[in-house]
Amino acid sequence: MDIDHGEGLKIALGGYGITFLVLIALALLAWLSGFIIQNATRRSERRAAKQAEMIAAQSKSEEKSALPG
Amino acid sequence: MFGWYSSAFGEISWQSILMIAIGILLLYLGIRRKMEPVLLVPIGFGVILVNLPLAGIMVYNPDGSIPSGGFKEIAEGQIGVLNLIFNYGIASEIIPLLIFLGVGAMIDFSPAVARPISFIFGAAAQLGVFVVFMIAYFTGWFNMGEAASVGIIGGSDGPPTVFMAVKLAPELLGPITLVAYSYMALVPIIQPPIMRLLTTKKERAIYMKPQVREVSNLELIVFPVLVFVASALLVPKSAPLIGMLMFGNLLRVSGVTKRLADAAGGVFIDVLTILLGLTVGALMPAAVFLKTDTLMIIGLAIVAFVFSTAGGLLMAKLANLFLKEKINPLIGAAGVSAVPMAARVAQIEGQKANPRNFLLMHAMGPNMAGAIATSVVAGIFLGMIAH
Repeated sequence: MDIDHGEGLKIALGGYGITFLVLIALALLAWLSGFIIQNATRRSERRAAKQAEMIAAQSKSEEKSALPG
Repeated sequence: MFGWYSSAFGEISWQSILMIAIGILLLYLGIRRKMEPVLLVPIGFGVILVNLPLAGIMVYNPDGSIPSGGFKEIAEGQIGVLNLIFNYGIASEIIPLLIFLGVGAMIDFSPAVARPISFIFGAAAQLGVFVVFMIAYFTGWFNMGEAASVGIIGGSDGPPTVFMAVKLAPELLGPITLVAYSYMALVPIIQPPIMRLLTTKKERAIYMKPQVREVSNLELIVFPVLVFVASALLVPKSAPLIGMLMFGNLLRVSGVTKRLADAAGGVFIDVLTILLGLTVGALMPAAVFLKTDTLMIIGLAIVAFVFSTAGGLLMAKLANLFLKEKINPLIGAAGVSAVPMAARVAQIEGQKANPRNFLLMHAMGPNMAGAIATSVVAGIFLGMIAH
């Protein structure tokens, strides 16, 4: 059987190297998507809390203004 | 004896008897020792089926190749039922891919999403695949495609191994599949000595806080889509494998396709496993199996497992040089993707060194990443080796 050492080495080293690069890319994507989603969730939670606070304050002031005298 | 009636006794050879004994051994290991019973029982029975002379359930050409045909050929006795399943199910790659869909529907990627460094350990644990590829090819025992198919046993993931062997080494599909699944069952025996050899007790005792961060549902939905698109663009040949795995997983996490996920991870995968196991067993008639190639595969596969375990472990040790919060290097060894056995081995060995340790969830991350990494490696080999 003809053995092409250069080609074999290229596939082994190149293949292992590419595996690392692809998996690093996937790790970065997983981290980045997690980071974006967590931040967006936190921001929307903060916004919702703020809105609830505003609604509570508004209804309080409306109650006050509705008091007789 | 009767002239008009022929029993199979006259046709039986010592090779067939040896293979039937191997089939019975596989049944024993599966049933009595509970080693991967879901696969070893159908494979063992398939081995017995194909080695009974004149049974005609799987017919071979005199040169060892497998004839194809349809119902007409079955009716005429030219091929057997398992020839049909082999040609339409395995040689066409449908069964291994659909099994991967079912696997995707059963696994939880959240430990890998919570700790993305797991992906690096998954990659490092492919070391054995490439080391054995070089040994198998450079020694001249196997051609390039066969060497790659033998090497990928070290990834310890069934469907990518079958998928690749079908394309690159169809004549070795039987022994490669059998060895791959048998060694997966042997992970709890193979890994611990290597773990102890390459780590100090102090390293194995490194304590990791039990909880990994909580992963939101949206992250889990985005993950399979993102991984599939990225890996299909980076390594196009891995798309069928990773596509099926991630589609199955999307069914699981979407929250609206529970019925489909239950089906894919339930009866669906069970039926396919029966067909795969039985047919793989039937790929081992004495004339095909009893060759030096098979012994080579058995020997090389253990080398692949040893190097893959070492690769993941050493990468975790390397990562510890840079990490503020140290990780237990044992979780790196779980990058060998025998799910969930490799993670369980890390857990057991970690607890032996430090009874407070609970590494299972931490080890599941590299374990899941290993499954993805093996599919990527299969895609890389298929892209690089002409077949």
